[in-house]
Amino acid sequence: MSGPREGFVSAFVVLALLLVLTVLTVVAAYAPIGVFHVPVALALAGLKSILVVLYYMHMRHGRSSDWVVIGTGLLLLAVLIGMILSDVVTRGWSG
Amino acid sequence: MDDTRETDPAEGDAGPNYLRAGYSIRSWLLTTDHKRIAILYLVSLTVMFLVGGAAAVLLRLELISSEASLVSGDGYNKLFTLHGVIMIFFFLVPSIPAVFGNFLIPMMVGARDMAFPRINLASWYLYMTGAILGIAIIVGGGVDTGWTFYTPYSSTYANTHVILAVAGVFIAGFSSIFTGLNIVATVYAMRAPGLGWGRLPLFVWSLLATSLIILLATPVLAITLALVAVERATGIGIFDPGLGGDPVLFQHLFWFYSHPAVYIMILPSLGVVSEIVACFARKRIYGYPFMAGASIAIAILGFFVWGHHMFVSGQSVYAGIVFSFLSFLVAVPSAVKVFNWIATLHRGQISFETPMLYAFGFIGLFVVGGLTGLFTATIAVNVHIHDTYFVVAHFHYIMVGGALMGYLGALHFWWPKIMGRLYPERLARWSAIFVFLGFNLTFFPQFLLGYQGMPRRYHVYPQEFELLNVFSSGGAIFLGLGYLLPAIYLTWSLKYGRAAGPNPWGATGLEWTTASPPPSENFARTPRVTEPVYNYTGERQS
Amino acid sequence: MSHGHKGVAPAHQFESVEQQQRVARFGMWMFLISETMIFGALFTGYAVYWTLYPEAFQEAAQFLDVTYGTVMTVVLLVSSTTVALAITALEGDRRRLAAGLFGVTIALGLVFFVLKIIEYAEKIGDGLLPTRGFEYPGAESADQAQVFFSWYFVITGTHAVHLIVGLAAIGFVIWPILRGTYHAKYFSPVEGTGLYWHLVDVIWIFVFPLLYLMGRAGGMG
Repeated sequence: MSGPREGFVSAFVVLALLLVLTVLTVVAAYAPIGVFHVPVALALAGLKSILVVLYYMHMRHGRSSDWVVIGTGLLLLAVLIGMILSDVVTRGWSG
Repeated sequence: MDDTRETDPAEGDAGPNYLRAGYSIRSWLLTTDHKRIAILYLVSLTVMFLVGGAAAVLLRLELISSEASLVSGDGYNKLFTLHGVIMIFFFLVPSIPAVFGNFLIPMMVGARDMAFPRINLASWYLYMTGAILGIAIIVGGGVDTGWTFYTPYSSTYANTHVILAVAGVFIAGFSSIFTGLNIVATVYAMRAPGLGWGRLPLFVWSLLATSLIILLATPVLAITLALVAVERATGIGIFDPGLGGDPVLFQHLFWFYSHPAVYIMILPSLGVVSEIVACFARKRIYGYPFMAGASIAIAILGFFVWGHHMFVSGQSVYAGIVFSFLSFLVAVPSAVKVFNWIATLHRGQISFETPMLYAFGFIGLFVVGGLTGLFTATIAVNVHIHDTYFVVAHFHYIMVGGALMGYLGALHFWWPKIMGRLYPERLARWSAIFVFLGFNLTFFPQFLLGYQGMPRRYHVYPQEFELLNVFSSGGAIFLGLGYLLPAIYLTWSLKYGRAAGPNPWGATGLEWTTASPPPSENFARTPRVTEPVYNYTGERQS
Repeated sequence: MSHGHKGVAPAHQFESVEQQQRVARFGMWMFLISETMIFGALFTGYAVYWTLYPEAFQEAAQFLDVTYGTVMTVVLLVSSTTVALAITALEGDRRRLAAGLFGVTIALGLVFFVLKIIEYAEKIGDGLLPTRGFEYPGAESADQAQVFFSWYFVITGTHAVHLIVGLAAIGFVIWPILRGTYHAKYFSPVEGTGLYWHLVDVIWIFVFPLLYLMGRAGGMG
């Protein structure tokens, strides 16, 4: 490997962004946004994760094979959560 | 089989073969050679198969008569639990990936070893830890939850060693994760020059698909069983409705693994059969890209269908409809496989050596098991046959008729490569026929029993079912004989079998280009692949 | 041992060190995805009960302490940063700096762990341990609230177990870094350890809002 993939400065910039997003997450939790609490919280958490994955976990320069692994995992995660919740949500519906 | 085509390859000079790389116990227990680890797995899996098989023998003995003649109700519960847990988690799930995957994947891709040899060895130790826990349970008095560990019975009411059992399965789960990880990494990164994705043997593709399932589904089972143990140990409410929990959630999480687990068992066999059919029909496999794609498709579709185990569990009707429909879809790639094998056989130079007999047996049983799967996936029919012997027969056609036939086929196909010896062909053919006939005699009556309404998991039953049960138990004798014979003649062949030579079947594939048994580093120098996959050119030149 | 790198010959099954590092990273990502599925199953269970018992869960979530949650989040984010810095340092062959930064990570991880223990102790002291002796002061169904606390302990507990494993792993690479076993040309085990720690961080990024911050504004809709 030739030299660092990320500089020291970028690590601190990312940390600053992560902290800002954390503050936003807390603020959003107390804001009167009704049904949007969960989507907003998930979106902010997703954004933070993307930062960590791209910069701290070096996936900004990642190989496509590693992306395939990540993508497949996230897809199956969606299947797990989505299909189980689809049962729970529709359980009360009467035919 | 005098082999004149193969000149003695230069690989013979690549040092001693892997079996002679060391004779001490230490040289086996601390080996990182994928071939030796495969042998460790082969031996330990055989032991576990015998334990699980012994339980099956007792079950069939009890069921000869409609009364409780041999074991009590409790004893029967423990026997079928033992049979299920051992056979599924400690034999079928690891079987082909851990033995033949370990042995063959690096050789098929032209590598010197797996990508992570030490993790590979760790995987065997994890497996052994789990297996020893499994054995400890038998000694300690058994488990009676069924291999499915359904809550709240398992987490609250059962008075048996549930925690120990789920711990064993948990640990064995990580062993298969390590194996799966190794297989994918090896295939991804260590292919020999010229070995593009389109030249991989279908066995490799099928194990890639298997590993995909192992990596993504096993963790879910592990944490779910851990939650059962936690609920049982501490009394916090997770699945127990008495504590506010939802037992259907347990079933969801359990089957999220355990349905795809069926594909963990069957996909490797599909790959094995492709290798064997191409070799003994002397033809390139028909529709190679579709065969490879179908393996991946089965793995992915397999994740969308688990709810068909839960049609009568209190799952929402709408979810049931969706799961039922999606389950039918799995039949498509499965049928693609069967039709392509038939197309491969068409106008092939077919010969009927032992591995081919197992492959034919596999195809027949797989078709029966698959088609009855369509019955069970249909909600209305499922409600009628749920938890009956129909289901028992169906999944044994897939998991024993399918997965185990594939395992035995692989064992006979690659035994000359693994040990460098040929087995007595005539005896082996007879035992393959015994397995096929015995299997059908054992399990076909169970379709009839189930359709007539005999429920599974009972040690006593109405007398009208007795005749078919006697047939079933009688078939089990032939089946057992068919399993015992290979154990005897294969062991015999280790000392007395004729030397196999590098390529007794005249097969294509890198594993056949090196000596049998292979040298420790597999190849004298890294092979270079210049031919397309399955480059069979008509008649066998031998 | 100032610049005496151990040889950079690859392990016998590989053709080059580059290949070896690439495969190690690929393997680690597979393992991380497996780990993610573990937490995926836990979050699924949690979501299922939110759907079944929305009122009780919303009330019970108020009993978690946002201050603890926020502080722990910040601690873990900073610890991830020090790991990222350590990898950068190692890539530039500044091994002492890298080891020092990993030392800071361990300290931060321990801070997180101690906070977790204090938080657990408070919850248990308040009678919120969801087993025999569960005393729930809220107005909604105590049975259902008990399930909330079951998931709270299970999810944060599983996370804590991973945190400990991560700490141990970091502890194991520090000395070899100083000794020069790992260096700019070969540091796969260090990178794998770092990736693992980042995953522990990413999981917590989701745990924090989904457990600690739910239903704060009243009315989940």
